[in-house]
Amino acid sequence: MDSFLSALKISLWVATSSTLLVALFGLALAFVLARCHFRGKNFVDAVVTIPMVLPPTVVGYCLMMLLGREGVIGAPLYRLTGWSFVFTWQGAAIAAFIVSLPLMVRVARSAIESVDEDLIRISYSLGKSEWETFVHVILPLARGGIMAGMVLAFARGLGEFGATLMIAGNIPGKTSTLSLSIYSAFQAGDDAKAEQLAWVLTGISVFVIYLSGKLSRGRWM
Amino acid sequence: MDVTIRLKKSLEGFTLDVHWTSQEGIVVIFGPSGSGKSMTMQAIAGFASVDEGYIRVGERVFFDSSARIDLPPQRREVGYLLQNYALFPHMTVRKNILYGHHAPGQAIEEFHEMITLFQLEGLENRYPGELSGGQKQRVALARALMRKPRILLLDEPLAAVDIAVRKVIRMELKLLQRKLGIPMVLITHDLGEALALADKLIIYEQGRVVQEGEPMEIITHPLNERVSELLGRITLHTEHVFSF
Repeated sequence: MDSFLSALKISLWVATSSTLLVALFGLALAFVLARCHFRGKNFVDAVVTIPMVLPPTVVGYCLMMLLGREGVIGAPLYRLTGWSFVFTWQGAAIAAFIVSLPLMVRVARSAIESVDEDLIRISYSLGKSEWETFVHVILPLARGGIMAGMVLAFARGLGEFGATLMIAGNIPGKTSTLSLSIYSAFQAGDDAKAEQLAWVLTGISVFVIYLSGKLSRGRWM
Repeated sequence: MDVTIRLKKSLEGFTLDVHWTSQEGIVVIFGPSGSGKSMTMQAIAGFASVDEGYIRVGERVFFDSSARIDLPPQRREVGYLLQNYALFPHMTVRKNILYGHHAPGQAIEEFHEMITLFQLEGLENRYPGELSGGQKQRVALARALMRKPRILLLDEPLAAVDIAVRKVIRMELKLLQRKLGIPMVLITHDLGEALALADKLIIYEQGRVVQEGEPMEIITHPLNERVSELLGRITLHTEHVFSF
């Protein structure tokens, strides 16, 4: 029971942290891709989408090259602070953030693009700036899709395995999430435990999909 | 308040090249679909760029390509009524009307004046989805006028209105313009509407002004065969044409 609660706590901590990051960066990226026109837009779109199609172990490997103790960012960080993302729940959160960001961006972008352009023009004609129009018109009308994107990102973060294993490892009580615990239990031949954990994760995922569907069918859509 | 419009824009397969002025009252731009009416309206509002031109309403210059003046839509003080009204569906009638006001908390008296003027009593807390077409139009007008715009632009204002009530709304629009005294520019492809509402009629075709002037003058003295065709070769019974 202790290990189950520990895995659940770590999973929720990792998924929540990554979802907060996804909400911030994902919404900004979704807005830029939906409303701005600039050279290289397709390239930015492709870079954001890549983690969706790459094998999770490749994503994990790239994160190690970036954040590992000898990585591009990880090395100076370790030298300056003595701390590293490797084998920490923060590393797991970054891995979950990277793989769930594309989901949020795609869903939120679609929601923002579906806001009637006439409403945006009318807002400008009534003296509102682009930021005021975003806050008072676009965000409320795209809210359902944005919330659905965040919920999907949370579910993806909760179920992350490959990239998490690469950068954070599978340390009981520290980085061993529900997904990783299922793997450990299965490897150890503890089928009952693996099944229990699998049901819990399935239940949470089903609930999340249901919630995402309800949110995306928002009042104003 | 006089209005001066001079616009030039070249697109693939279409060129807009128009120049007209108006002293006061309701200007109606009449012409077939694709003649450049909407492009003109959007250029005045600041939503469409043009290659060169000059747009002035009263003493305020909205656009002057030679002086590199191009005010953003937010600063043009244009009231814009779209065909679909574009009411914010997530805001009540009250919030829609007060949306453009710089200090909505201090606009209670003005707000109630608008409610009375447009007969919207009892609808303040309703959402656009709960309103009829006519009510939506009145809310959209109130919202546009709450900001005291310099000019009011109306894009096919009667297109979505039942034929039975069009005459009533035409009269209401005419009376509103007289009461407020601000210039109105209205676009339509409905000849009856154009003749009934216009103080000045401007006929567009293929991106150009083919004739402009008082409606009666144009009907009795069309410049050429094409203008006659656009006016549908109407035989005049003026008491019918000019009744609202």
